[in-house]
Amino acid sequence: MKVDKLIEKTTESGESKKWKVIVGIAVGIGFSVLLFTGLMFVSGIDDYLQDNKQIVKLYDFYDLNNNGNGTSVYVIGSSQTGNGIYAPKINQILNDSNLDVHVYNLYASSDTPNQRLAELQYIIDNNPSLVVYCISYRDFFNFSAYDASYSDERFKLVHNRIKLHNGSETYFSSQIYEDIVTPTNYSYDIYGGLDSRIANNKPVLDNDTIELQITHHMGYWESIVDVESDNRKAFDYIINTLNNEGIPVIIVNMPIHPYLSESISDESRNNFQKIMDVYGDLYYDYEHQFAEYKYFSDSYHLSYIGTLEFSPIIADIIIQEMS
Amino acid sequence: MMFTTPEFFIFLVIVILLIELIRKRLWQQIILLIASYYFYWCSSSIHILLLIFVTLASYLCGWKIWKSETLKRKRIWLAVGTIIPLAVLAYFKYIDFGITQINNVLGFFSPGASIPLLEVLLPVGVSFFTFQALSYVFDIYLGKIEHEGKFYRYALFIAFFPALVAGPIVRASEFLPQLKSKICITGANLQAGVTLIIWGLFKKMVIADNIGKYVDIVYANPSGYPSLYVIAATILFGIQIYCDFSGYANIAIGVGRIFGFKIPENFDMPYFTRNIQIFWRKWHMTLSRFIHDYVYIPLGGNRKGHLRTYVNLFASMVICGFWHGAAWTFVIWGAYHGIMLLLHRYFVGERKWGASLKFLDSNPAVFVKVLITQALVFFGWMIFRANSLSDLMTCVQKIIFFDFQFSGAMKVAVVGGILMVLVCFVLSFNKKIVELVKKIIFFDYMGYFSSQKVQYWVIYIVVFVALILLLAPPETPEFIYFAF
Repeated sequence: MKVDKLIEKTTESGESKKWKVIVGIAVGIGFSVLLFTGLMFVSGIDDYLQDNKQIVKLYDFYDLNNNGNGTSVYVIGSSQTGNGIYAPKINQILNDSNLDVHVYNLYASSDTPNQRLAELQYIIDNNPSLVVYCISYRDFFNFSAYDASYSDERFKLVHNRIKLHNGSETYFSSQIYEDIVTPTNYSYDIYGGLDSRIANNKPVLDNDTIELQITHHMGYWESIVDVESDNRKAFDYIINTLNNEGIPVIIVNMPIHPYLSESISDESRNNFQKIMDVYGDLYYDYEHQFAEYKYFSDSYHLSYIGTLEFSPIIADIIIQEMS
Repeated sequence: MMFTTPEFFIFLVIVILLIELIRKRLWQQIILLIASYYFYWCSSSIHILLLIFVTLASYLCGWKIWKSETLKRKRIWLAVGTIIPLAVLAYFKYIDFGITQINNVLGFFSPGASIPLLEVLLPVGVSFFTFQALSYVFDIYLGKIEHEGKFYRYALFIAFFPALVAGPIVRASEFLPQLKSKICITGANLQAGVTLIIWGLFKKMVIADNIGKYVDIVYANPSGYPSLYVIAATILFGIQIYCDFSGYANIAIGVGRIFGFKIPENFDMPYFTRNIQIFWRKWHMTLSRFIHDYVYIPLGGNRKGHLRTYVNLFASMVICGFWHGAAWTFVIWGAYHGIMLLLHRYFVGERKWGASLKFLDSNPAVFVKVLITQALVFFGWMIFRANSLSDLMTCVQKIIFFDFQFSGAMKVAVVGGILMVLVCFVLSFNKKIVELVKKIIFFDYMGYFSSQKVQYWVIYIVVFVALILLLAPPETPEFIYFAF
């Protein structure tokens, strides 16, 4: 490519065809968008599924890393984990400490223990040195409608790849188990859907906006942590099974915005504590780690600054556990 | 705000409209300056103060050098004008690296002792705008340019948004004279600019970003992959970094072109070069000439004897490597290229090895030379890409002690690749075929597309924009050179 030649050519041209070029750009872009939308429409690709393609990546990862060499640390959890744990930073710290392990952030958006249970056998097969399970109150809410709206699509993309741990069947909620065993045939675009093509820059929000956000979602956050929920049962099963297989687990209560923390009811807080009391030293509580809004991109997710601050903390825990 | 986001294109359209509506040169330049600062604010928020500080400081030093009547005073202001941008660069880019090295030494003598890291966030594009500021101060000192009387023009030179965060590194002598005329958005410039922008987006979003996913997986844990994967990932990284960076340069040049500015080219088919010296004339050309003019030549260039020439060459390349980032891998990468340039200079430049062998200029020999040069360049990319020194050692071990672990598909790929190279080698004996291939490779595609009638040019837009929409991965990573 000879950009210089192009520049020489173009400098000599006048202004006469400017409008033609502008119309040309508009027509060209318009046609390409139409073409693209048409192709998406014809192929019947579901946008929501495309945004959830993380699950496919996750299964690809399990397949790729099935080497059982015990030098990996898996961090699992929801988007809160995706945003809050910066694996390269942790790896750098571990590397500086001469620890021969590599951390992988295996988050899945809106993940719950019930959904993660479907990956238990894969995790065992991969034999990580440590599993860091990042959780928060919503992992144990008794708000089944929430589970239903998000979970019903998750397994459809990896339906034929699911490999259940023997004995885990009874620990799934009936709805999720049905999704797992129901054969599906969905289109899948490996390059993602419309929504996910738009860069999702998460700015730091000010306190007023976060307060508004929490108020707006109050119905959701007023849900109660349920010690008898399917998610709690699945959670216990995951932790106990991994421990029985010789894979150590630690549980991290992720930081949340102070405003959100205030809105958690006493009942939820007490129930959550009851669930965690069982795990004693395995449980690390960082709910109140950050008080300033700059550390959060919204009420529930850490911002870039927050992530950079929080990741070394997780690195220290890993070093402590591994040594 | 990245070049690949919808926000950028909305921003660009607004700036173009404003420039088109305001016909006065002064206001056009002020609008561009405000737009550039807004662009930087969106990319790096509060670090905009740093950009303003470097602009003010270098402008003042340039003015002082210009005004000074004695050489001594000129030198004092040159020193000040050099130290300020370099100090900014050193603090924001290298301070934590320096502390880490001190801690390593401290840890050796007294375990447990360490200085806490400052965890300074790297301002986007700091390496680029500080270098532009340095070039201004140096050029005034060397008498190549005059002091720019209008501060806003100088500020626009430093902050001009297309080249602000990842180059090309524009010299004051190239840019400032262009501000003497009114900005006139013509049809031809618009067509040429948009052609380049779309091509740059295609290279970045379709080629580089799709390749990057696989490179990242292997380089995240090289010990977990067979040798062939490490080699494949290194080759892919070579393609990724070229498409990423030259894609950015195409977009920057294209945006500049829309406003009628000439931004210098940064790449000229570097992977088709036959020796390492030519490679560096065609790879990141604006950095290479900066290092040549402001590091190699002031160090003495080739004017102070053989030994000193080699030392200067090596030192320049180490500095070039270190410019890319605060890590030993970059220093080693720079030193590696320094040694290669040094060996080339000694054996080919001075000892004239092979100069009398005519067959070395034949097409098959040139083909082999290109292959060897690029193998060395791509080995360098492995040093550049490794996340740490230990990862680098792992990668080198993987290549030296090749493990011969091939999956079925990989066997086919390797055999296919070797066969292709052999076929190309055999074909290179035929002069007509070689000429045809050269024409295809070096054809001026951008010039061709942008000189087409608009009704045909639209086809180019439709095809490439549709390909970008269809094939670009959903999450576009930052341009690699944003981190430098």
